[in-house]
Amino acid sequence: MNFQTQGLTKSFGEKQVLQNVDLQTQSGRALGLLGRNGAGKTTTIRIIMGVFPPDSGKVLMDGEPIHRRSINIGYLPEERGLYPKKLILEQLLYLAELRGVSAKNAKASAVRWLDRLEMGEYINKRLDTLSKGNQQKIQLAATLITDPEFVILDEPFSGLDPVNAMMLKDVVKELIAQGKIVLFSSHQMNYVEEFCDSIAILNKGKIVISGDIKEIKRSYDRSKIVVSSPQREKIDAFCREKLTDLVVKTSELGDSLKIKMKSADCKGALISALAAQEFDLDGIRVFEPSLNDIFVEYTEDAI
Amino acid sequence: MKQFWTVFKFEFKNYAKNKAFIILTLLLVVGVGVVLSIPRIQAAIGSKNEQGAPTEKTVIALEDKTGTDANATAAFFASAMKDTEFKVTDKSVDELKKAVDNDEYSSAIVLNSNLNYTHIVKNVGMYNSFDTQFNEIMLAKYRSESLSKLGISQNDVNSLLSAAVQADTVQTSSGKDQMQNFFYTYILIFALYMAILLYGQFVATSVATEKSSRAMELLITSTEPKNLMFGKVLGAGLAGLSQFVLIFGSSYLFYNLNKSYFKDISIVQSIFNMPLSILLYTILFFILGFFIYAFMYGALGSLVSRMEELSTTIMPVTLVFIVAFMIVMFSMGSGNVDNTAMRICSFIPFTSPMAMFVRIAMGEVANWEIAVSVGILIISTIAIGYLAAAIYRMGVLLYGKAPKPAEIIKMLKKSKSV
Repeated sequence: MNFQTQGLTKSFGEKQVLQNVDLQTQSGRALGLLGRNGAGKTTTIRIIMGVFPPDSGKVLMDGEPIHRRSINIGYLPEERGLYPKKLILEQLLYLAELRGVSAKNAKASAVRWLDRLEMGEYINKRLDTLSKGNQQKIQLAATLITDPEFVILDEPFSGLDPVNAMMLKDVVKELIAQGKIVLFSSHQMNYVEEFCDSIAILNKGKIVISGDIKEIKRSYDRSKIVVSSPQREKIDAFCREKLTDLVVKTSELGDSLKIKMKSADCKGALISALAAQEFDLDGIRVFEPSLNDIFVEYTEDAI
Repeated sequence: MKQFWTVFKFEFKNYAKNKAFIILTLLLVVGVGVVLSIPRIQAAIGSKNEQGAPTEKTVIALEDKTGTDANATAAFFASAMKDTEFKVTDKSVDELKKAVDNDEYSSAIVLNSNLNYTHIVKNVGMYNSFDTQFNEIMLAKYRSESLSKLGISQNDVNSLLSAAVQADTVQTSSGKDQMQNFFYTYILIFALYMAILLYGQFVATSVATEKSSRAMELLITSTEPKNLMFGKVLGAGLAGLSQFVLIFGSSYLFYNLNKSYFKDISIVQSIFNMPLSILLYTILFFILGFFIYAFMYGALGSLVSRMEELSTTIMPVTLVFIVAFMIVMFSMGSGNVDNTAMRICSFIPFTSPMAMFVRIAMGEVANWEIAVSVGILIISTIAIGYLAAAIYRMGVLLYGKAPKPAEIIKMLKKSKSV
């Protein structure tokens, strides 16, 4: 299946919240929708879910306008909420039946997901007796109980401890391996980088960059190299004093030294110059920006 | 449709499993049972009492200033008033006052002339039946004495004074006895009022809970809002109706168990002998009145973001309903249930469930009027149901200040046009 949005535009009153948002992903892939608070992530997801219509633009599945009732969608809203006073099993069954699962299948699926999320012991507890993180896991079980083909997770990691975050990560990886479409929003780059094939960064309602993460990284110019060495200070001084025709700027990057060259072509000359000085070199690599760097670069001047 | 049933079942179970709901229903059933068994209980206690000592007599001091035989007067009064003893005294008014104040006598009477007396009492009760009764006796005594003086024999005097008119009112078959109808109409209107107010607020609370707990977004993306709204309101409606049936059914049962004790109490008899058509109209107006208000309450419930705002938000609807109730109650009290206000109210969907019902039960109303009123009510109920579902759907996005009616209309128009 191929999921797409075309030119989603939305404004609330005077404020334009989304402007021509195009997204694209397919079965077996995960698309990360990134953006700062208020960038329009949740609005985009709500339009996809049909909570409200866009002012213009389309939501398509395999090229056709999406039929939300015939495609099994699992949705984890940003505003988490179930019935606090009800038994967990009872409300999971209700939500599953509402989405068309038979009572019998719903029960089996509820038990399976609660066990998978290590929540089996709470099956007959009231929701409000659980901690916030555990309530979040119940919410995830409610999202996945119908075995959806299309999973939308709005900020799935917020409120989870590292162990639970790891568990969620594994679940999402399984979903991808099973060939589901996974769309999720987040601003926690480390998780996104781990299992997202492609990303779209939203800033002030506009997509500022989107596509395959690897390609985005490769598109950055390769004129920066990172040198790891115990003699970092010496190399730094040498570069700044002797190699001014090759080096524009040096800076620290953790334990290493980041060197910006005049162009990517200077790489060979720089390496031979350093080698000729017989510095103790542990490693030399071309610098690739992390997702975090990319995110900051595209959203810094925003909101 | 399947999803509607899922919501309906879920909502109904919420009530059926709710402890407060069960306890309230049981208490009402037990209460009705106790009230309807009171004559039987009284009879059981009363029969014991009759074997014991006779009840104590009320003692009233009597001072006769008319110059006739004071003892004969006292005997005449005592024979006319049961359980009352008249003690002749010649104390002054001030002394009598003191004596009454010290509870020596329950009260004192000073006869100033044949048609003038002073009654000295400690407390003036709200229902002073003594004075009326005593006035009658004084008057009878005066007449009988005066007639005797004119030379009419005692027998003639007695038959003249005790003459009474016998009247029989014959009712035509299509007419209504307002006296009889009043009580059951009163009870049913009150039940209607309580049920609509109570269940309407249940619906509002249930919607507001879904909104404040933020379960709403998940719900409206799982199914059509109209399934949610109609399922919720119909679920609550069924719960209310079953409670209604349970209470009225059990009262009918208790009445039949104690039937022989109600032989002399025409009010109770009139209630339980109400025509079947009235009962069916009650159910019809309960259902329609309940739904139209429940939908409005549901829509308003979806506009609040926190539970604390709920009562102020639903206030306008409650006020409309209370005003309707007042108009109906005053009209019932005045005895003219077909007045202009009631005629108008019986066609307005928000007031017609009560107004038209009362007119059917107590007034004169043509069949076409009933049909038109019910028709308007059904159409508006369905329309308000769909409107409520649309507002409910919108409500999920409205957090913060509850919007004004004009803003709601604007948003509804906008969401329709897309």
